[in-house]
Amino acid sequence: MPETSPHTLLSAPEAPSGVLPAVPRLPTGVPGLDTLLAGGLPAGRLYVLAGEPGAGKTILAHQMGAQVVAHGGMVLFLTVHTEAHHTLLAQARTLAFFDPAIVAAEQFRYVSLSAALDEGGIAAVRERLAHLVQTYAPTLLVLDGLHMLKLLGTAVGTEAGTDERAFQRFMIFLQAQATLSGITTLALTNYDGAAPADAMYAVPDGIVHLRTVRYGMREVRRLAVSKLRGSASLAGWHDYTLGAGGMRVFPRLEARIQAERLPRRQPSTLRAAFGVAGLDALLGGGVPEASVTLLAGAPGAGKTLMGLAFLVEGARRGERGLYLGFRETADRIVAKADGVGLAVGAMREAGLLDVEWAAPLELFIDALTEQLLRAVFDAPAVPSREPDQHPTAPRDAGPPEGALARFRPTAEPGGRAPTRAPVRRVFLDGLDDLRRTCLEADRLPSVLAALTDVLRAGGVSLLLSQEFRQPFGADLTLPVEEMAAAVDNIVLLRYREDGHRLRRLISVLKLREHAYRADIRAFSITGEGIHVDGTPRDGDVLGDDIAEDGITRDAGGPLAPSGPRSA
Amino acid sequence: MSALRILVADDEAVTVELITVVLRHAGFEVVGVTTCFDALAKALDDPAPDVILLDALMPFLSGIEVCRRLRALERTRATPIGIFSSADEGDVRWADAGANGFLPKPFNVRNLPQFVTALAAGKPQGPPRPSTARP
Repeated sequence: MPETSPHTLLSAPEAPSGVLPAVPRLPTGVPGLDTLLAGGLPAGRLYVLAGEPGAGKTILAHQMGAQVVAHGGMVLFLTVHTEAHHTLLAQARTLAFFDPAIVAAEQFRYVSLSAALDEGGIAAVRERLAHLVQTYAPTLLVLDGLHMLKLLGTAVGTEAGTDERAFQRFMIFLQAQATLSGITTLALTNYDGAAPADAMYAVPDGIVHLRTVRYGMREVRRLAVSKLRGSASLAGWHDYTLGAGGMRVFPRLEARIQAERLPRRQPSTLRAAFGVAGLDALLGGGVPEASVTLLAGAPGAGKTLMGLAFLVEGARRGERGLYLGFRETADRIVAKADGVGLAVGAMREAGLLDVEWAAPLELFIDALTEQLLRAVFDAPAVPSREPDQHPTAPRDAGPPEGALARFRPTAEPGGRAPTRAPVRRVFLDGLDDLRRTCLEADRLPSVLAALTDVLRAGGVSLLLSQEFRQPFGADLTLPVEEMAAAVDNIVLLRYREDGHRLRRLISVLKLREHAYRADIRAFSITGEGIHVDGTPRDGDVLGDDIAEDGITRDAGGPLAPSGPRSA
Repeated sequence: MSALRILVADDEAVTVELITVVLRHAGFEVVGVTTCFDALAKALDDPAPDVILLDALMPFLSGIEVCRRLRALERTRATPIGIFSSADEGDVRWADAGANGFLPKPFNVRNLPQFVTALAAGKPQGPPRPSTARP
């Protein structure tokens, strides 16, 4: 058996900042979970992993075990009247991260405690366990079937009424063994809804709950770190998935961003133009760089094409763009844009425009925002947190640049930086579809606020499209009322009946802290592109100019066609 | 002629139970144990087992190690020993330890009596591989 060196696995102790003591951590190897845990589980402690059958408890334990073995550690996987070892191993073989050879090499050892339990009850299990730990000195001890131990373990050789105490003593023994021997212990139990005061939950140093939540016909798996003694974690429930790659947790973006403390960015004085002359004139040159713009409009009014024009114009200036839509595949988007003379295909080939498509079927918002941030920053959106960047640890004054760096592209091995230009413009086409991926509707404003915070901090201009219910009329009730506060700028696309024709109209409703022209202008989409009339047509409402302070001035004052309007 | 006496050792009690039931039904006499220590003790019992079946991955002393120790003892030097395991056969050095056969887990229980009978008859089970420990 190879020599185990548990300490090579442990992350460096946290920086002694703040009130939290320095604790070496054992990474779980589960993407996203280590983010929740600020790097991993504090080592040498007892944790309970509770979840109903099929929730993924053994997958998580195997994933963590494989990680431990990969770093030279040893894993003791004890079972108590749960699945047979060959069944466990057969399941583990289907997981990409698990090399079955580590079982034969005795680095990952399955041992059954069922016989000890049947023969001598909990006392015999305790004795066998102590002997095993003494013999193998594992880095990670997994005990699968804590619920079976509670159910059966106390029935042998004990009198009625002493059962609960025997189990409680066992839990205290497990915890003492973990802390005294420095062996991280993970006890797996079917979630039984026991009271928090139950020894199963009261004694351990941490509890991770796995749960399946049903929304109509949909099901979503969720995880919560309900308790983590002496250490902070990202609170609340977070979505997770199970697949051939094992478990993957998607920390709620808003919880993460709150913990990350992104650097505050000074508002930019530069403009991001649409490349559509008439619209840019209304905007005084374009929307402010690194701002959030809502493109609200009637069905078919041209939101997608207008947004694509924004990306193409950016690409033309060397600013890489990203389109993320839900309705049309990348090929259809390219064809649609090419049909009106927008060079989406060419810009895509030049590496200046990425087109991503997410089918809005069984999609969940945290997975989607991760996909988006990954595409924007080229780096995993759920990187493992450096141990010295604890989510709640107080920081020194000054912008914590490290927080944002984790969303930025990472340098390739050998120190070469990524060769592609960073994404500077993002068009998220379909706020309604995004809302459908958010199972709790009241979360959407917070998620959007978090998403826009990250993008703003990264200097990225975000365009969101939103469909109006009614194509006509002057009722400009915002479809997502709370969006009005979250977005910096609003551009409206509508129809007007003009005799026997429908005419497209465009107007600017809001441009935060910048002056804009309040004209309502007609626009058309032809094979040559998008054309916004330079001057209001007969019958169009002649608007006024709205100054930086939001006060209406006389119409007709000159608005600079481009360049900064305010500091 | 009395029934062949089979010793089965696996730390998983359920596996021992299953093998015991199947072999008893096939007419064998079976002794089942769940620790390596009991396996060593029962292997040296009187009457001695005719065939020994060991789980390769038992704790403390693996089935491979138990096999090696039994081979070193005069009394069990020639007793047919079968190793079973859920690990890949290639990773379990059963022939090097002096075992006579390998049975991958999970196995088809219908093949089990045949496997034991063949071992008892001195027919090696499983692909031959170079052996240095064989007596």
